[in-house]
Amino acid sequence: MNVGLYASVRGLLAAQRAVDVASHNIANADTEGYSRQRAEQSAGTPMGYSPYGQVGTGVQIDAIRRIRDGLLDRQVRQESSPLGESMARAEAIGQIEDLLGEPGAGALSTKLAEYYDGWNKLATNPENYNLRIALRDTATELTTTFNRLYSDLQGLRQDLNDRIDTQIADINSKASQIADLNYQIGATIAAGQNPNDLKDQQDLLIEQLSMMVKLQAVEEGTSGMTNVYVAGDPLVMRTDAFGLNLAPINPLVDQSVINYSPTGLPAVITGGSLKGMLDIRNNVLAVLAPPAGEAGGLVFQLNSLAAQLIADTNALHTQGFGLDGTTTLNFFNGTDAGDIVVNQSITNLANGLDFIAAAANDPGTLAGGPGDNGMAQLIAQRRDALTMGGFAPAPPALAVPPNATFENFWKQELTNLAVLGQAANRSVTTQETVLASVKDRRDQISAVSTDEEMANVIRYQKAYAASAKLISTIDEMLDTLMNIRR
Amino acid sequence: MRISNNTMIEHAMRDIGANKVRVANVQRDITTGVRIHRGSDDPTSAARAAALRQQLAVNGTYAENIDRAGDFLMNTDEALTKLNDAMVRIRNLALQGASGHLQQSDKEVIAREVTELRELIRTVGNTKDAQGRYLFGGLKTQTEPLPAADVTLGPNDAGTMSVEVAQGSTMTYNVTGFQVFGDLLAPAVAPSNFPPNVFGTLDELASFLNGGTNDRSITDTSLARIDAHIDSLSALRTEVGARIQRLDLAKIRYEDMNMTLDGLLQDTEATDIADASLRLNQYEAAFRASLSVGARALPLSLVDFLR
Repeated sequence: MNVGLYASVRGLLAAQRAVDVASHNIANADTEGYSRQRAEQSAGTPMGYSPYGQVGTGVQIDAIRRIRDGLLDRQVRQESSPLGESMARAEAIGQIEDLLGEPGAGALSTKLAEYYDGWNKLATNPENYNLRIALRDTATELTTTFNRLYSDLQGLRQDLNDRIDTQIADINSKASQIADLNYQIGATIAAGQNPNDLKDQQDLLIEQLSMMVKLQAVEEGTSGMTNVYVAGDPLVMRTDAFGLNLAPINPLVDQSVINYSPTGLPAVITGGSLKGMLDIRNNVLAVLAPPAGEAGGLVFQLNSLAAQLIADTNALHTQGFGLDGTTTLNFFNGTDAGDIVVNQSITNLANGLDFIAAAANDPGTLAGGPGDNGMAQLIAQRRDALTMGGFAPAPPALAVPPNATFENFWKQELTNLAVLGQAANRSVTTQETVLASVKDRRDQISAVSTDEEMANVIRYQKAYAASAKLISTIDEMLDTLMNIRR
Repeated sequence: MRISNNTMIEHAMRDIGANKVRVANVQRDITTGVRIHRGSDDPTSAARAAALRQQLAVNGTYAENIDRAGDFLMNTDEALTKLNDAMVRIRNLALQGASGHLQQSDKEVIAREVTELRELIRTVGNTKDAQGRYLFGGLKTQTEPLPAADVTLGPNDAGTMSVEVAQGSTMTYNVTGFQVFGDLLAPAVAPSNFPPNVFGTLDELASFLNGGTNDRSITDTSLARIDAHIDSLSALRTEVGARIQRLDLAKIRYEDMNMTLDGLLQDTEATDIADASLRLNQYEAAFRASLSVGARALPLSLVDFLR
């Protein structure tokens, strides 16, 4: 009977422990990264060698284990980094498209068209001051649009830089948290315990990290610690976290590279939102000239467009004559999109409008006159001229002649950007679905169902009540035994 | 399948979210009337729409050029008609003056009328268009081509003005004083093989009439010259008329083209309202259903039924 009493007490204890675990599960039903836990119980070691064989000794709790599938975790990490990358790309390209504002009244394409339209209108009536004012103003609007786009795109690059900076700080902080958790996990396992909640926290951190940067996480067999590698180099090694750092390389273009902190060697970021942002900053928005044969970044292309437009208009304008005979005057000053401006003599001086060279010949001579629209017409016709897109590669390759008008060149840039944006948006949708379905499967296994837990609680309650009843029954039996002597 | 709390909530949120996005998108399509808001929505259509818009704008520019040149040509045509009428009247006067049985005093009356008409022709020659440009001044549009004191002191400019009416195609639209009146710097009374200008001819006719020159000079010299001027005026008027017609046709062509382009642009980027409304209804129903199902299924819990 002593054995029965003992077994009942163990039953009580096991039921209590199981209810504890269920309470923990219910309490954490909405905790991010939490996986449900189970108290694993088994029959106690039997008492041996009685005349009738072994006698059972009740139940025991072997372990409290989290229910989790490591394969699904790996899949979640694997699918997270492409999603992080496309989300970063889609967001940045969306911002760029918003800045460009195409199609729209304030967009560069519209301003380019209006600029040439201004010359064309002036050509129909070159002595008309209203048309000269209109041309001056559309040209000014064009230059301010160039300036605005340039500073906005540079601002976006700056913004991306800041975000990359913040993200690297975030990655470093998560890496050191993972290393700290490794320490605690190692200690727990060494003490023969299951570090369930610590592992949950660590897995969540690794999952969040994999949105930012593509990584491999490898769990060590015996110590239970997890090492994290980025492109083969360790970010977290047991209880040590090696961070990433930013090293500025060219202050002119706000460019910086990412290095491994301990070695100072460049880190190859192959995925995650960090990759997406780096890619937008370094390629899509590149300022510097691309390597031969590669497409230039948006800022570079904007600058080439402005530079070519300045050169093209000035080449003709300097040969033309103003109403007062002024000649060899530049229409645009500046060198690129950042500083292009309509010649200040035209915009600021009282008789500046006279300087606009619409005439091909000096109006003071026999061949000329205020009605002379020769130069205005030539400049207006540059709208249809192939001025952009050619390049001169190193010999012996043949130079490619220009193959696009100003407007078409810019439209091609917009289309390139739109295609990139569409691809990023599609990739976000696809990756979201993939990741959602993997997480779904993980939730099916690991997430808490309060219904299930409540049902379990009732089960354990019944077990507890039964064990308690048994104790009182045994008590009664003992009572009966005690009362025999009276 | 094991359904956890998370599974149900995640599913409901994701699906309600997706339905909401669809409703919001179609609503935006309808309210803005455009289905491409950014290039990345549909790069191919966006590029096509941009090309169509550019073509529309270019055509608009040419159409406006045509309007401006057309105004100038209409003014020119009117002026040429007046000049022609005056020359025809002068021809009649010259015929009268050539008649042998006229008194010298009658001839002088005719000469006075010729002088009046010469002044009229000079004034018409100084006509300006609405923009204040002298029609027959060549490129010297701000200088009176035929000054009152002496027509030979005008700029006598033969410069032509042209306008772009199609890509790479320009059209001269002014008729110069040279073409209308002849070279003003040519000798007033020319050698017989040199055609003098209109004013020279008229001055000569007046002097014939005033000086009692014999009738044959009037008939032989002046009439022939007047006829030549009338002929060249007619030729100019025909040419101007032909240009106006050519511009009209080009304008009609641009208008037709823009109508087509506009239709294509609408097809490319505008929202098909009927289709969008239908989709809105569909999406709205799905959205409503997902909300209602979520509201009913999510709160269900065993906890509510345990005593």
